[in-house]
Amino acid sequence: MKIKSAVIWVAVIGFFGGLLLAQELLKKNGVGLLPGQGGNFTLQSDKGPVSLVDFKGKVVALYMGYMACPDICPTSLWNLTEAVKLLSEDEASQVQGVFVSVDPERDSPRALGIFARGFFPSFVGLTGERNELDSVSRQYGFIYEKVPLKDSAMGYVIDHSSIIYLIDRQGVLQAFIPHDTPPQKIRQELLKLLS
Amino acid sequence: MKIFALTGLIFFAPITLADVAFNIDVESPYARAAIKQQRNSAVFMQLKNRDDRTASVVSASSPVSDTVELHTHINDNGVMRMRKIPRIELPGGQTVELKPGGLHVMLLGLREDLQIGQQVEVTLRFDDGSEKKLEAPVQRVMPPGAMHKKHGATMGH
Repeated sequence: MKIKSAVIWVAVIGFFGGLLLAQELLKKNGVGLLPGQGGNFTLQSDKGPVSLVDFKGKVVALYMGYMACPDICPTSLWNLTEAVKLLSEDEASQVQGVFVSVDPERDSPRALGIFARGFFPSFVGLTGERNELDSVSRQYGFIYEKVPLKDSAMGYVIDHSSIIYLIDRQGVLQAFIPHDTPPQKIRQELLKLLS
Repeated sequence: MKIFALTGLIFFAPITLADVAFNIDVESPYARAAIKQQRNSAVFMQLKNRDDRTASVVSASSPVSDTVELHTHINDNGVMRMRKIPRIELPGGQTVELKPGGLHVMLLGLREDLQIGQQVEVTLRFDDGSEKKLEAPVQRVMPPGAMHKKHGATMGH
């Protein structure tokens, strides 16, 4: 009887302790970081296939969206660019910006390359087959949905999460940067992974 | 004939003065830098309605793109959903802010790169048919100072 109640108490304390811990983690990261989230992927650039493992040794800042996005994607990429520019030249050379387009029907690897380098010379722009993009999205917890806009010249838009995924030098997803985070704060997050 | 013309002038003068375009001030407009390959860009600004009646922007046009539409963003639990809207309402005496992540004048089908330093001509059309032409400088993100002006912070009356 005593053992049974002790087990229950351990379970109860464990459960609420876990909740508190999860809350703290959520507060810290803005969005919850789930174990096992992230991982390698291979997509197409204008210079051939690129894999996350190619950037081993660098801190990767991954952002997903689409080029026809007039506001959300460029805002996030400019914030990231400004953050990288706030770093020293040596630090900046250890950061790899990666933009993944989930709109391969409109965005060619060639156009994505021009687009990404327009932000920062070392940034890469990638895309791939629908199933590959869906798989990367699942891995990183990125949500997107193609939505037809009948009354608009856009034809369709892509509703999407706006998060910068920070990946450490070993290729492990370490942090989420929520939308509209100012460059100074992004810089601090990059520095944590650079040190 | 002269009398008729004069009567007409007196009759229409107050209406002309009261048109919506006359009562709307456009502050800190800017267009977002973009390359042609992106196809689209957006123009942001603050629209101050000095009149006490609600007015609306119902359409816009620009020589730099094939189409211009009015759009907004809905942040649905972190998922950004951009939608076309039929009008941007400008409540009397208030300032409505078109800004990143929210309302914007959307340039669709860019005919050229929008480079920093360039000016983009935009014409806004209001619900009474009046128009306002403005020049929006091309910027990367936001002109300094524009961030401090908050939506609805300026109450005119």
